[in-house]
Amino acid sequence: MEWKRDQLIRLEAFDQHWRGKPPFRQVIFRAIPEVATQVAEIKTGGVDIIRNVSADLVPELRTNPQTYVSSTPILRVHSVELDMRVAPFDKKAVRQAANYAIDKQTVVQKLMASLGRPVATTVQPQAFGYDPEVKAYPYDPKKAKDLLAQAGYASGVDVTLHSATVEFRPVFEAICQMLTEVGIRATPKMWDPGPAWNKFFQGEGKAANGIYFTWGNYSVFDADAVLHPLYHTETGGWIGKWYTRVDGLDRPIDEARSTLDQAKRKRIYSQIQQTIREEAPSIFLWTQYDTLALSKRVEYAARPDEWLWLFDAKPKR
Amino acid sequence: MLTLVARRVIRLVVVLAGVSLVTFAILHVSGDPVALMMPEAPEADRASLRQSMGFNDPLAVQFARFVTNLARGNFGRSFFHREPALPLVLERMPVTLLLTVLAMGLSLAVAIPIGILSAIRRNSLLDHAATFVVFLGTSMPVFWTGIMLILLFAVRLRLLPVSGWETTAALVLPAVTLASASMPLLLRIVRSSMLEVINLDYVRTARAKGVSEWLVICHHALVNALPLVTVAGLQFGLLLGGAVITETVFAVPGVGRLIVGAIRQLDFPIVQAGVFLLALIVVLVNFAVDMLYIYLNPQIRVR
Repeated sequence: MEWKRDQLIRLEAFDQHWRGKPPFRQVIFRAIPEVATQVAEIKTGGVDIIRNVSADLVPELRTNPQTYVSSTPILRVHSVELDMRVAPFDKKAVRQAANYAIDKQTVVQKLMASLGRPVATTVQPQAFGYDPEVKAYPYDPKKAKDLLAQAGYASGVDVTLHSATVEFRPVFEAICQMLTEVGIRATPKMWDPGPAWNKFFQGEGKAANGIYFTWGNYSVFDADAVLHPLYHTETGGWIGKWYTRVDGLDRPIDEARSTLDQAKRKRIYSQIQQTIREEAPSIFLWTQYDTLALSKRVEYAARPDEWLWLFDAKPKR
Repeated sequence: MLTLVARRVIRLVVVLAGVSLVTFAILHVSGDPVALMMPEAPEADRASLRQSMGFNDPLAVQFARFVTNLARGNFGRSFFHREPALPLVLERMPVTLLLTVLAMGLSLAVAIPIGILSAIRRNSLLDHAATFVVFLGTSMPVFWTGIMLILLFAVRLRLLPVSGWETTAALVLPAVTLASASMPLLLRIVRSSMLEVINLDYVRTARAKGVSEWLVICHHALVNALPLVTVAGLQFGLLLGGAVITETVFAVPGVGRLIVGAIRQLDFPIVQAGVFLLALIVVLVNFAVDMLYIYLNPQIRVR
């Protein structure tokens, strides 16, 4: 019922709604850019829910007597997209080596407060068509070194990786360190989201050996929501042009999206996931969680689709 | 006298032109807004949007177009909000100005009396305490001061709201935070310029005449502490810059936050309008300082 730009949106309940009257008459959405301020607000009861709580704040907000944390896996998958046009990631062995080099379990535990799940490809475990039989690359630094030597880089190779995913900066730097340890000496470069867009996708991408990337599946629980935009050449955007260039996926992707035979779709998708895992156009990482911190006055839970449906929020006794 | 004013006005225009040019140049090398608007579209579609928005013209042509529009008070439409940029910026200007003026007033209100007292009672406990606070104030970055004040006054003591701009109480912490950035230097200036004049002959004469100490300080000495005026003018610009950070920490809906957001979104018109207006304010304040000098210092009028 009220909007103050960059400040707040105040909504009032509509009593004739088909679901009836909601428990709260009013909902106020406030724009608070600074995370430390958000945390201070929820601790003092100034707000009741804050979103996208980063891993380092989770323990504090779990133990605070005023607040609790609700977290759920969402459809967002993380990866490092590799530039397959230029050395060294033009060689499959190097791309696989990079995948073996990452200790996903440790990163998720130590840097993400265990709020993540290692994945085998970019297909989300909650999406239709996900094949649990396609296993994630295990952490195997020895194998990584062997593969690197096979590809002709026995004494290692230098690469530069880029990221604009600010809240996952420590994670990104850990990945670069792990790559460096097996001989892929990775220099991490952080960017502001605005200029980064250009650097990654618009220029000729000369310096971009790889980019830290996340994909949210458009909140659609289907493998197609990642496969078509990322791996089909038809999209023609930035992604399929330089990254994720696995040949021969157009036909199966089209086939799977033009049939209603669910068994057949599943078969095709599992085939595609095997191919993608084998070709390793990216360093496959993990799924992301959506983490809310809530005041103990309110009962609500994070949702896998990242939406806030506050009709379901209830006052807590 | 008139030529002096005219010269200052010319300088004002030159500075504004320079600011616009630099902002324009930096923005246009920082990225391609079209890529941000339609990241997944085919290159051909992006190219045609770029063409229709005039991004394919040489930079000089684009700048000429920008200046022509600017002369008509038109900064273009925000790419993101899809509204004219100037009203969007003007809408928030009162918030930023109020914050800045509050902070300026607050720091002067503290700096002048404390500065005078430390000058008069040199090497007293008060003087040393003030020096300590000055060092503390200059060493702490604004965002950190802000967060510390939040933790102390809002989280621990629960005296003030954490953030926002809806109540008068919410203004206190941002204003104090911002004031803490400019107060130390002002205090230092007051103290040192007072020390400079306080032992001069004319002050001694005034005292000898039997003028009360209070009048000596305020009428004779302080009026000659001219550097304060200059520094306060310059500090005003600094405060406007500091407001950008303070607004972010305290979720204050001001121009600073608008500009920072617009830089992220490569929203050129908003950044240009915002930076231009802030520069205009700084330049005008300094212009006013220059004029004030003419009034305060008769020597300049003669020259």
